[in-house]
Amino acid sequence: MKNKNNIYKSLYLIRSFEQTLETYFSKGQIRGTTHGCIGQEVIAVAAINNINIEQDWITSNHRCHGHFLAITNDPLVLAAEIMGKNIGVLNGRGASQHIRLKHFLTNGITGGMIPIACGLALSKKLKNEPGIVLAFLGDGAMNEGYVMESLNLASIYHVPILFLLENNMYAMSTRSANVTAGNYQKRIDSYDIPYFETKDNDYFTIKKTFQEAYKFVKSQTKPAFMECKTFRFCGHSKSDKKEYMSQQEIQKWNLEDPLLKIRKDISEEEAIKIEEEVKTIVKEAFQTASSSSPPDPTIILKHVAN
Amino acid sequence: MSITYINDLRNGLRELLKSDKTVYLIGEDIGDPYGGAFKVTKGLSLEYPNNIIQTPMSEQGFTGMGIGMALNGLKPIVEIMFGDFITLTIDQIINHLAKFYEVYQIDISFVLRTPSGGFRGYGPTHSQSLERLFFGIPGITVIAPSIINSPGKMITKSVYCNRPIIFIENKLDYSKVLLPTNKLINDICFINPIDSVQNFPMHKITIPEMQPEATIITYGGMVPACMKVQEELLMEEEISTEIITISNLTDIDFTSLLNSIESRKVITIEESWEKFGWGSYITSKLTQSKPFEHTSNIGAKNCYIPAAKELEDYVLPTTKTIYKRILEEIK
Ligand SMILES: Cc1ncc(C[n+]2csc(CCOP(=O)(O)OP(=O)(O)O)c2C)c(N)n1
Ligand SMILES: [Mg+2]
Repeated sequence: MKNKNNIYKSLYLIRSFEQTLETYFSKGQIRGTTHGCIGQEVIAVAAINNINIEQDWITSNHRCHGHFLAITNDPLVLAAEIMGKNIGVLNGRGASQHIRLKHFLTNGITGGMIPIACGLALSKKLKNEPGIVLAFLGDGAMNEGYVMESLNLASIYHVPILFLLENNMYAMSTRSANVTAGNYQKRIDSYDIPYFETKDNDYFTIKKTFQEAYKFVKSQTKPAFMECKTFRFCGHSKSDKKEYMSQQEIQKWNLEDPLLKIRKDISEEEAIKIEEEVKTIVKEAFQTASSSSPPDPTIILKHVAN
Repeated sequence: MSITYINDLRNGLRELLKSDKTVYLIGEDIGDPYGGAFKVTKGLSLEYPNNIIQTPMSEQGFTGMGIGMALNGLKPIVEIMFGDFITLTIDQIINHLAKFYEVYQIDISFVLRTPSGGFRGYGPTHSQSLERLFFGIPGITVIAPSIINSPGKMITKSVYCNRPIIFIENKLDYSKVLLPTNKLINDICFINPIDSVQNFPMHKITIPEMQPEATIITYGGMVPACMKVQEELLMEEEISTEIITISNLTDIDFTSLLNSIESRKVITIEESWEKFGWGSYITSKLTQSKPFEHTSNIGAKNCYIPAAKELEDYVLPTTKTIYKRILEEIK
């Protein structure tokens, strides 16, 4: 049960972070934009908890807070980054979707990280390095040429990469089913890449399937693809009101909140304790970030030629 | 010892592969027996099979793949078969590579090399000098050797300068013999490096003992044409000119450049379009520091690059058109 508590804590940290961030944005206290992952936290935590964080590389996309927090458990440097503060992971140079920490890289061009992830995986193979590359992507990215080229490259060069598709069924306001021919499994099959799937947005199902896929990639030094059906409870970005989703759809998924599922297995007392603890951590992180100093403009001069 | 541009370049690549196991050549059709569309890599896959990665036609994909390899410490040299196709790599270069280098502050060895330019009747999508698309993009350095730099040495320097490099070759240069420095050439001119301390030097081509009436600034594949013009102006009009060639097209040392200009008239020459061109930036920067009697920019006409010889010669800056323009402008 201790384990479940820890999992719930990691999940709740992400949820609480994203909710707090929404509040700050709605009050106009943060510039720029952000993409929350409320409803999808289980994928980040199930995956990151089951990789080798020292050896593996992780590439992510615009919706990266969950991945980052699952890796670092550090809401302060992320909040500070998003607020453009000097103590942020990149001293505020990148904000919400441009993050790099050691082997973790994100970027704001949908699908653009996927060939890079393949190159990282190829480099691991060429250098005989242990570990694999975990590449997160969304269903929208599945229609970018980048991804189609990369699936082929990964397959022909037998590189140790695990593509992890977080299929929340929407790319911004576009319902992916309306703009996507065939289905993902058939596409993946045609590249001779093993396909794994989870349908219920449940931590333990995702964890189990992820472990299988991960083991395959690692032991075979070959790519695998895993699709997780999920749902984003929040808007695409800060001010999105989800007018393109039906109330029925939203309600159906709300009933299956993956965090509530885990919470049911924890005593009410313990759950509340975790929630209070996490809320305090997040609140303090945002407050500390908020009152911290902005970066000095000279920091951008490193790596900038004339 | 004379050597052609392509052999010198291939030697440079071979030396890199020999001395550094982390260097990889990546690209379409670069393996043997074909050896690349322009044969630059011919033979190398036989000598270093493990370090040549022949790719499918996926320029966005394998450029990104190269960037991923570079992030993990390898030294990829990606070949894009024709310079025109760099359009497919632009998102990776600008939105990924440059951002990893500048925003994420990662030292990265990444070279994208590609043959640029026309005059071969290849038509609108195989003749352009699209390096201009990268000019002015922070984090990207564009390097272009010419027949007076060793492209082999320059590619080596590019690999070891730990920053994103776009390396522009010129199709017409491949078969040309490299020219020596500090030696009288064709009984006419001397070539001297301007600032030998730089990784990517500028050179000056001067006619000894004559005060130049104009200074021509150029790069890459236009260097041989400019030298021809220099010779003809001397022979036919007794006009002396100096030529300054630049090999780092984007990080220009304007102080050295200014100091080395010995005439009061500056004319830039580039193969790509004059409109919004490289040359107009150069003369604009120069004239901000010092007044000149005359500055102008010569480049291609504002038009696609057509295929037929008469049409292509009409659009691109040929020896003839450059000669005529310079004469008109300095007389
Ligand atoms: C190349 C590119 N096109 C468009 C966008 C704008 N944009 C950002 S996220 C997004 C939707 C991405 O959908 P998906 O891949 O399913 O990820 P999700 O947002 O659902 O997590 C769009 C259109 C972008 N960032 N990059
Ligand atoms: Mg989506």
